[in-house]
Amino acid sequence: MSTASDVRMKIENLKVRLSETGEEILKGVSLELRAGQIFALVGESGSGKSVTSLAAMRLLPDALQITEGAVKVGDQDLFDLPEATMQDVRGRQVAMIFQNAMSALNPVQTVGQQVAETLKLHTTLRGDSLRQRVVQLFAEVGIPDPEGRYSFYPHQLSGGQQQRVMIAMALACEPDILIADEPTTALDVTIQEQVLKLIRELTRTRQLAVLLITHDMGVVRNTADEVAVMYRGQIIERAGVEAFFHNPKEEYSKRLIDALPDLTHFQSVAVEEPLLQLDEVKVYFPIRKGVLQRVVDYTRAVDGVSLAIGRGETYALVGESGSGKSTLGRAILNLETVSGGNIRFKGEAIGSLARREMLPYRKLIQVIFQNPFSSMNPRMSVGEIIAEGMVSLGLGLSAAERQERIGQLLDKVQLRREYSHRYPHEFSGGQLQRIAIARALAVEPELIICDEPTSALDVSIRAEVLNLLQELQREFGVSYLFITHDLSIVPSLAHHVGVMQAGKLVEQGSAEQILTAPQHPYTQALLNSVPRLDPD
Amino acid sequence: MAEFGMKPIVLWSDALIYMLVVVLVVFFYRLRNDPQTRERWGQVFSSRLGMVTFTVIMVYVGVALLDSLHFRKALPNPEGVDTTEIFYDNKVTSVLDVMLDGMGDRFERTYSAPFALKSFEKSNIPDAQGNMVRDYDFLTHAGGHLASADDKWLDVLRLSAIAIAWGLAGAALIVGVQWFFLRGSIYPWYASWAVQTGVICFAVWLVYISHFYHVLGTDQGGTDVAFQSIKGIRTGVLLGTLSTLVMLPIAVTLGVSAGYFKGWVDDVVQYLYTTLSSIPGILLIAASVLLFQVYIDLNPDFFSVGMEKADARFIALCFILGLTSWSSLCRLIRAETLKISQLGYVQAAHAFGVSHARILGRHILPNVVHIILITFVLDFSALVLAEAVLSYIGVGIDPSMGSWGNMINGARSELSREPAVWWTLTGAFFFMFMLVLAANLFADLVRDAFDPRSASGRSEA
Repeated sequence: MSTASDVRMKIENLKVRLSETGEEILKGVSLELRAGQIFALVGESGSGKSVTSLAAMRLLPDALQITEGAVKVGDQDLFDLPEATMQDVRGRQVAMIFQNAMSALNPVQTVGQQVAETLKLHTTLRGDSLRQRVVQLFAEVGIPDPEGRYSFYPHQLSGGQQQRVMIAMALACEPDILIADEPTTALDVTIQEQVLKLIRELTRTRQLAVLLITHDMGVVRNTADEVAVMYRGQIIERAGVEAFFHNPKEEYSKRLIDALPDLTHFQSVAVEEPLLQLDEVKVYFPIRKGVLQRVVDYTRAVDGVSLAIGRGETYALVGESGSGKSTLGRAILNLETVSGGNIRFKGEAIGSLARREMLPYRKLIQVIFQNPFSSMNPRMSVGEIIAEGMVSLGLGLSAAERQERIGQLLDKVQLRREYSHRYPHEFSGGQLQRIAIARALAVEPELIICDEPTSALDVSIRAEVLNLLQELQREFGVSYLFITHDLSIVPSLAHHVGVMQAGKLVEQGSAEQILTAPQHPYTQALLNSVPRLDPD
Repeated sequence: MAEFGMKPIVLWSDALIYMLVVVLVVFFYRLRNDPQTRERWGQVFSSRLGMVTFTVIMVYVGVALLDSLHFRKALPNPEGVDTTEIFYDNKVTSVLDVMLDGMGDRFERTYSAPFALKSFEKSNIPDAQGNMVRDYDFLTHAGGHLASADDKWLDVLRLSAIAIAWGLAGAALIVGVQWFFLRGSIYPWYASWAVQTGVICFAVWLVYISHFYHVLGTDQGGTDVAFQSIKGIRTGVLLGTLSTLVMLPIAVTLGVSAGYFKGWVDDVVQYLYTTLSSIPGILLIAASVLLFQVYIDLNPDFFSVGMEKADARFIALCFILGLTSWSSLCRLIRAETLKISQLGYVQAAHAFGVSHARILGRHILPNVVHIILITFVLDFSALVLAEAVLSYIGVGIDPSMGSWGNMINGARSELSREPAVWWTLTGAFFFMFMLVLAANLFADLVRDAFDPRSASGRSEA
């Protein structure tokens, strides 16, 4: 494919350690970036992939220390350069883009000025020609109406457009090498796809050497030419992208690849009685203005959604951020006031019950949240956390019975019984999410609303948590309303799928139907943007 | 029998401060169960600075507590009157006064410099021939035991050596007992022991040598300045803690309710603190104190001794300071509560049908405690300083009650005379400086340990 002469950057045996404890963070990482190619560095959080890129640019925080290795651009070792020259290398030769574009842009300057600023530092362009160059760059990275967007402030642009501005800024000085650190993680799937496509095109047209850092195997599959898997500070496997996906060598790599959706097996749909029924449910938030705070308009977060969930069934509610899917979940839990429509649980209307009247249903409908770290009170022990619902809903258990039940629940979610005396900060994200599941199960609910329960977890742990949820469903016959933006976990999990866009349910049906023969254009767009393992 | 009789007096401020101590002890005892809190306190005390400053603060608090045990001595029966009724002294004494061994009872006529043998001002005295001359009179309670004035400094040295020897012996005893129990501890107790040794030696030296000299001289009324400075400790410490105690419930209740219930509750609370913080603080405090003073003057029957009058004014000042300074803490707590009430565990509690009271008590309050704690220690020193400022402008503590602010106020005009009377100011300054410095350094450590935003605090938000 390419020859050694195309190598633009070479990292050799890079070692980094924590200066305080001497713990090794990177244990000898070597890689080469070639012109016109995308090199993907994959790994879970904490594997050292970002440290590799920061160390290469000499941007490590003070707590970390480079102990060994070299980073060569051409024949020059970057570690030999004085800081002043290094400044020039960053930007002119090597450019970087980061995950969160919003925080990387200055909120009080227009995006045009910010790109122009970078150009002024590194080129001789001034005045009109400078402006022309910025507009040209904006056009190149696919910002619509580049002339007009020049005078926009960052907050006026969408997340995808902000990331495009960042890319324009990175390209401003015609670098040879681009380091992209999780450039699309904060973006919705449809926009993610567009940004990746842009990076792919720029790599070819400008013959860039790209280091793409990501945890998302789908991104790798669709974008990269070469893959390296990082695990605990080491590259454990390295291969061309085709070879890697068809024939992974390491067990760990296989697990990462297995996390991708398999579109050939679906949950079979049984005929069932509806447990929860939503009928034209609306949740409106008033917009107030003026001194008297009069209601001038409404934000229609959920705008007439009808769906039904059967006993022992999983209904996946899919949509991008802001589509109103979480609000709908909160409305079912009666944490949000319903503005219109009916919510029926086992035939009873529960949509507009007062706090006290809702109590009997609290036992039957439970919830698991996205962020396991914030969903546990840090000052309560695991036992207390699990017991809270049992106590407040008056299950009528004695203290000893409650202890026994907590023990059983911990067994069920595959945690040790002794953990009930520990505190949340001692656990990892995956363990915490298991505790959250135990907490929800404690009151023997019939429906659990899972609000993105796996999106804060690493891929390999994600699969374990999903498997656990399915096992529990088989054992207890509990139904799930599974709120997610991640279509890849839907096929193995859901019986029915509903797709939400801007507060409306645009399409629903059985999982197989939606994923193999989507009707609505939005569903099609969503599906197309999901990275898949096997396009053929 | 009558000489040993006494009648305990519990002033309002005494009752409050002991109540506060009990509450704090219970509070910290219960916090022991929380491993995270224990770990953070551990962080504070594992530094030498934390140990030293905490010991200094504890010494101040101890002195304040001893000075808060009040009683009235029984008076001996007047000669020729035979009665079983016991009359009590109108002057209120504290345990601390007894421990200082009459240091406050050795009055002179007026100013005298530290370690002076003669008065600072001339007066009419009879000379050997019986004629009246104007000269510097000998002091009543200083240097009477000396054969000649030239021996003074040698004598001071000798007395100091004796006092420090006694002090070291006492310190060895106290530190030895602690050493026996805390041998294996991971905390740097030796730093605390060093401070304790220093403090004990100083205390013994001061009490002992005060029998022979006025270490910090005397003030205009002839009172020992060292004694006054020590009496100022109670005022300073109590003002700092009581005002905070008054302020805390208001700030916490309003802040938490505003952040949790939102809506009109939030509007009302915000309106309140915006209004309050737009009125100049000093003006509000001065007006309130003057109003209360009028009330005291119009109702003399309420108070049986003068000390109670002074105490009432003191408590009023604490309340006023507390009532006018809650807005900043309230704002912080409101913001934190707003944040916490959106977190998963509060939402989950709602989904479990947990009552509002329980959510507030179990989920919200424990998670804003760090803010309360940081504010408590930070505001403490500010309030001690505020007292000095208020007394200086004449709306602070009653002049009959010793306070650093009053001492500074009394000293300001004397600084301009020649030779200057510098010792009153020095005494007040030294004792106040030590307390405020220790409190500020300790507050920094507490903030570092408890503030989630600081690097060593909890990293996940």
